[in-house]
Amino acid sequence: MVAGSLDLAAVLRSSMHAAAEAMNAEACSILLRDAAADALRFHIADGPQTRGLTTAALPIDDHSIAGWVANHQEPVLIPDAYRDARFNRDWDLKTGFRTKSIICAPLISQDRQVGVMQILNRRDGESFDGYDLVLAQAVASLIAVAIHNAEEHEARIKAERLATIGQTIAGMAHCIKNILNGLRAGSYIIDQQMTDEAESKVTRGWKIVKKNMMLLSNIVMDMLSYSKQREPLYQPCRIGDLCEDVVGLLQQQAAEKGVTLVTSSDLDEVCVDESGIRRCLINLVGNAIDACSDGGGLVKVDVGAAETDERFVIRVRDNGCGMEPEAREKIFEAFFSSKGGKGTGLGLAVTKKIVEEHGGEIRVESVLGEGTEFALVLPAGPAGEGSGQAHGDPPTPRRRTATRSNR
Amino acid sequence: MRKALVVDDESDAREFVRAILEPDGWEVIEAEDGAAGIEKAKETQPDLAILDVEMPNVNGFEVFMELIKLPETAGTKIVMLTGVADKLGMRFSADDMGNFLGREPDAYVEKPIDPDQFKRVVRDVTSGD
Repeated sequence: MVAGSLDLAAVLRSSMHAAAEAMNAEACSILLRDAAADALRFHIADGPQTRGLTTAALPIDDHSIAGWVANHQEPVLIPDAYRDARFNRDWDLKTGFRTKSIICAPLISQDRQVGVMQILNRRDGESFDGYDLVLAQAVASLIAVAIHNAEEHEARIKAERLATIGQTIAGMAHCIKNILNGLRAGSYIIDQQMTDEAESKVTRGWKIVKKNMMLLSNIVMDMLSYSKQREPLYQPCRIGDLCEDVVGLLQQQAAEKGVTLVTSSDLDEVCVDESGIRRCLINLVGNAIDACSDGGGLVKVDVGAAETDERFVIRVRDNGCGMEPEAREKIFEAFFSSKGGKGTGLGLAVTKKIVEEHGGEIRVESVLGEGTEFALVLPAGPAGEGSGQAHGDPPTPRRRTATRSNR
Repeated sequence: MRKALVVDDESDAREFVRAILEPDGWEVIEAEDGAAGIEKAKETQPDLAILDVEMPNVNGFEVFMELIKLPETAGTKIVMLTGVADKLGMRFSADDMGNFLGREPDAYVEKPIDPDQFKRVVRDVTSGD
């Protein structure tokens, strides 16, 4: 019965009730392992005094019985809780429950520890014994399977929900882009009128509105790019000009932090999806600015040929804070951000997606305290022939020194 | 004065193109849908046509196909504006390429428009004139 249900809360409730009955115990509690916080979390405790326990987090260490069991992944039998150093009396004080004897067992399913089960006080007043411990382990293994199944089911539902949100966003893309276009239109026209005006409250206010409009626009564009698989729209693109555009776009943001932006290009024309590569650069340069400390920051955007002639590299380098190896592992995961509330965790995921859609790759080198370099290694044109490329450019990056053919 | 025709059902978008091009010495003519766009094109014979892809009734590609057939607009350079790049997937299919009568738009610009990029594209597309 327990193993069949897929609703996690119901599984926990019935498991604890069944365990308390099977063990003839006064109370049973289950703590689930919260992988993100690296802690145990009480979900529900089944017993007479369980209020105040449902969401408390417990560190996985040797300072509590449940923490010890999670840490060492082996069960314990404690005949008298108050004589065990690991026992934390606070729980009893909080709940009014008087703990006497405890069995605590890890909940392990398919080599994954899902949590810990605690059985408290035999109803006949005796301490738990070896027979109880064996029984508790059997109960624990059944419960672990049930929880594991329920958790996987929840994860599946969550993934489906995310996919639905993605589809919804993608479906609204046209409408949203029109609104963004209108906002940009209005701000461009205001800008045209404001250029000569002296520093006034209007210009100061306008700068703030404009900056935040750009930030919002970037988030929305990242969401749209992430939510939809697309073929790159290959067009001839003057890559150096594109880098200069992006640097210009982020100039204000950089200036506010005292960060200098410089860009240079050895190449003239390549054939890429310009809007896509623009998104990548906005994200990488924006991150680079954020990584720099106030004052003295330097961000360099360089374009050059790669080892093979058919590819080229865009390097974005900063002299900012660098990354811990652990952060380095996660940066391309969607929704991972080291910027707290400032980041969506989409920028690098989108960048990677766009680069891969081009058949390119993204490389990262980072030294903590010294800076980070992202390198986008991209084909200079679409792969294969007859791909509908507009101007028939050969897939070789053109060097700046070469004479450019007139289009 | 060089003439640019902008065909877009969004008035804000037309206004945007006007604001970008007028300071560069373009006379900007507006049309609010595909059918009106074709009429205005015949009438004014613009040097440049900027066509929104997604419009109700007659869409931007249909306007494009009409313009390249008309003798009045044979020399008109054409830039497509698009919100949803996926619509351009047709650009890579041989069947649809046939529909374009052997000619493709001179450039594509994605919305939201970046004014600097847009200016550059317009300069490139019309530089041979």
